[in-house]
Amino acid sequence: MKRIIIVEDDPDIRDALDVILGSTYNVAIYSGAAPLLEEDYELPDLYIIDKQLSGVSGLSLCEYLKGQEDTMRIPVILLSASPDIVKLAKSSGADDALEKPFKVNILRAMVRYYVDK
Amino acid sequence: MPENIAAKGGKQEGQLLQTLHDYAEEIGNLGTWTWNMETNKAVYSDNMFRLFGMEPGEVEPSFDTIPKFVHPDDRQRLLAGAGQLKENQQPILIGYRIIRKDNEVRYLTNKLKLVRNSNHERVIIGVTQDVTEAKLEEYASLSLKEQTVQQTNDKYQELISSIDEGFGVAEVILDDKSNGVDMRWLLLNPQFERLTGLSRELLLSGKTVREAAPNIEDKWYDKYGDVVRRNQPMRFEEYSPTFDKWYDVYVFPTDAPELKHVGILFQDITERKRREQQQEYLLKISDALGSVSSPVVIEEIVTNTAMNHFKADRCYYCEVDGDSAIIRRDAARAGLSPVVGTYPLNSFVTFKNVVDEGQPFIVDNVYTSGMVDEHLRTLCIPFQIISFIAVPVVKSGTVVGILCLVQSTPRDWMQSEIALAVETAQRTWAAVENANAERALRQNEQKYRTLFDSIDEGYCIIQMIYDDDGKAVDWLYLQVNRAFELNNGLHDAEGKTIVEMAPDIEGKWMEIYDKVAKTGEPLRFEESSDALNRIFSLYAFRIGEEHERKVAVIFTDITERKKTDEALRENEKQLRMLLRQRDEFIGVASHELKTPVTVMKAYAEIVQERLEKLGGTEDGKLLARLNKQIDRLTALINDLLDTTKISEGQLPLNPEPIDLNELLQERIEEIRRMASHKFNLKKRSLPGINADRERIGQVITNLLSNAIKYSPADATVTIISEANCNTVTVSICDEGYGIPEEALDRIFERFFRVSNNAMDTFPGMGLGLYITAQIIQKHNGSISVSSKQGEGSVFTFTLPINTDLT
Repeated sequence: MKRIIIVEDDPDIRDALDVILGSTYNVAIYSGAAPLLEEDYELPDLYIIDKQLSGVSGLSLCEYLKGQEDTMRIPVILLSASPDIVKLAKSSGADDALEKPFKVNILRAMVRYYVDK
Repeated sequence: MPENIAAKGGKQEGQLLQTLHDYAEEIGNLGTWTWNMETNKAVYSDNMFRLFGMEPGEVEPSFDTIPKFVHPDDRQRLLAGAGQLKENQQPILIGYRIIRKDNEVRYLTNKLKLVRNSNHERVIIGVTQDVTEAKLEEYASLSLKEQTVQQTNDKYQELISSIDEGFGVAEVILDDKSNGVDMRWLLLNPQFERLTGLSRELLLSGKTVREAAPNIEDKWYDKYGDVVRRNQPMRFEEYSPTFDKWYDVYVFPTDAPELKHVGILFQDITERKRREQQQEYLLKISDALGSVSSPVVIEEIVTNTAMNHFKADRCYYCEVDGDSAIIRRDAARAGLSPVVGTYPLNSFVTFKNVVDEGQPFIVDNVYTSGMVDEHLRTLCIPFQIISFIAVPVVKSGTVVGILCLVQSTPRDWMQSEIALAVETAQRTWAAVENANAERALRQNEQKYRTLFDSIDEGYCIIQMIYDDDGKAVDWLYLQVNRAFELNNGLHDAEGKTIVEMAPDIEGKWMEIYDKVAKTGEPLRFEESSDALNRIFSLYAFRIGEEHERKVAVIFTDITERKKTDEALRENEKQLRMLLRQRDEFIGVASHELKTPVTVMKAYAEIVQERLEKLGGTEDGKLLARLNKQIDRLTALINDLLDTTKISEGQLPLNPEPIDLNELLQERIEEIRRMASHKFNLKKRSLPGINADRERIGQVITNLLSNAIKYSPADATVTIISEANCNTVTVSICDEGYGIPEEALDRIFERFFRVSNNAMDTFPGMGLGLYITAQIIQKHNGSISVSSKQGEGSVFTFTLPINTDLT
């Protein structure tokens, strides 16, 4: 089972994402960026990161991951309520971005695409 | 030459001699002849005949032959000369003129000698020579000399005739004390006559001047006598009462002193003199009138000055009013009773005459003048009016007054005096008119004064005051208006200086007014003064010339207004802050709203999926509707977000080369799936443009959404794209309900919604077209709308092909 790490500080969105993806993938959910920067963890096949995290922002986390030897090749999808997320995503090295609110089947398709890649 | 050539000589010899003789005669223009006094027989040589204009042998010469030709005037001389001939004496020479048959006059000389021939008869031998040529030459040269003399004479004559000056030569007659008492003119040029009016003929007739013109003043003889006595030339200007003329005279001794001859060169300078005197007199009047503005005082000054100048005993101005002559005041020598009073014009013949004729009325002597009747005489005499000038004061062709100059003795008024009196009258009138005009001006000034006093603005005229280094240090208030104090709080400022009233007055004021005074450039400015504790709005401009250092200032106390302005600005600042806070709030709120919407949408879609898997139930359809509303909510939230971004000036663009036709196609397809309308894209080939694909797409979607939203479900939406020079244009035309005309102007405004009953069915926040217009604007493009209610609307936006969007 492919592994996805979701970083999202809003518990309701976290739950929704878990509902959508949890049955298909091995989903690990973090509410902030800190554990991913400080602790060792099992590397996933895909990161889904909310842009607006309290503390270290989703963009910074994305840049960090893309700068690390072991994580730089793992795809990252950024989630955001801002319509200009697409542009921001590219500048931080993210592979793709999705604007909230999103269509469930589009999220699924996107995840499938990057996980199977 | 042999003595008796005709009598002697042989034939042969004689022949030769004859030939020689003939030649000689011809060359020398000579004729030879003999006349036998005994026989009265004469013999002429051939040439002798020719000298007399005859052919040789034409007549039988005799004693009478020659005298017949001789000029009658010379005949006597010839005979007398001939009568003196004596035997064996030296030949005598007689010259005479002859008149030839053809009337030509010739000059001849004759040498005659009396001899006896062989028969002892007395024979006169004559040699006659024609000397006409020589004579003529002699005469010619003689006449040349005469001519030269004549010409010189003529030139001299011409000179003295042609000069403008009068010229003459006179013999001065002195009495036994060597004083000039008379004179006799010897020579006079024509100008003399013109300048003096005296007859040249009479004066040159040999009479003395006293005899010819007895009224010439003695002073002239005195002066000419002086010149003779001193034998020195003299130049002087002198007035001749006889001629009423001024002369500039140059007198010089000429010829031998004992002849007492003088040359007199003179010209008439009357005009100049008169002008000078008049000028002086009129100047005096003008000077006196210069500072006077009351007609009464003018009259007084004029009458006094005129009286003195004319050396008259009385001078007054008489006003003509209808049938009355009013004398309000008169200038009179001490001891004369005043003539002030009102006189009926009809019974006062002088005034009546002047008024009727408009001409001066002059009386030299009321006792003798034919112009004065008994009535006038009895009027005049009690006032000691013995002689007078009365000149009219004319205004626009009407006599309005009379200026009178009066003498208590008979007086021979001169033309120049009369003319000057006329001039005085005119001047007086002009001065009175001026005075009246000035009074009008003062009234006008009063009007302005009233005006300036009635305005709310402070008004003042100041004069700058400088220190020794030329630095402006103070100013004097020359004039202030009523509102002055109200506007700056300075009480009773006229005649005071600013430093006197406000010692702390700021230096900047000096600089400002000094600049205006010096440059003459008006200045409008606002300035505050701590010394006066006020803020002013001012307009300062120079009055008069730079050296006058005068500045006029119109000003208003705007302290209160400034305070209000300040308060308003503060309010505005507050308002802006509130607006920013509102926008920030909307931004944050809409962002926060998205989180629950995201969650709602996720669950709704999942549930819908599951229900659909179970087979298309009613619940699935309900959930689809729920989803649609969530999308609408999302769109509204996005509009709000965009709006706040625009108002913060933060609508970021991501420009890239785009194909507008492709974008149109794409967005039309998207809309087509949600609508039942027909879409008709009429596209022209377009150049690629630089634009934010997402934002322009948003514009197209917005306009398409509006088109379907506001038109019936089966209507057609036509989309036209075209390229112009530097732009591309897209028009989206619907067949909808149209927009009311009054709404067209405001349709792109933020939060604007067309509000009428028909539109109530179309809800919205009034942000769509606002955002659309803002996006187009951000792209340096333009958007417009035209619409007719019931027919549809056309939205047209234009984008530049090449534009810098950074």
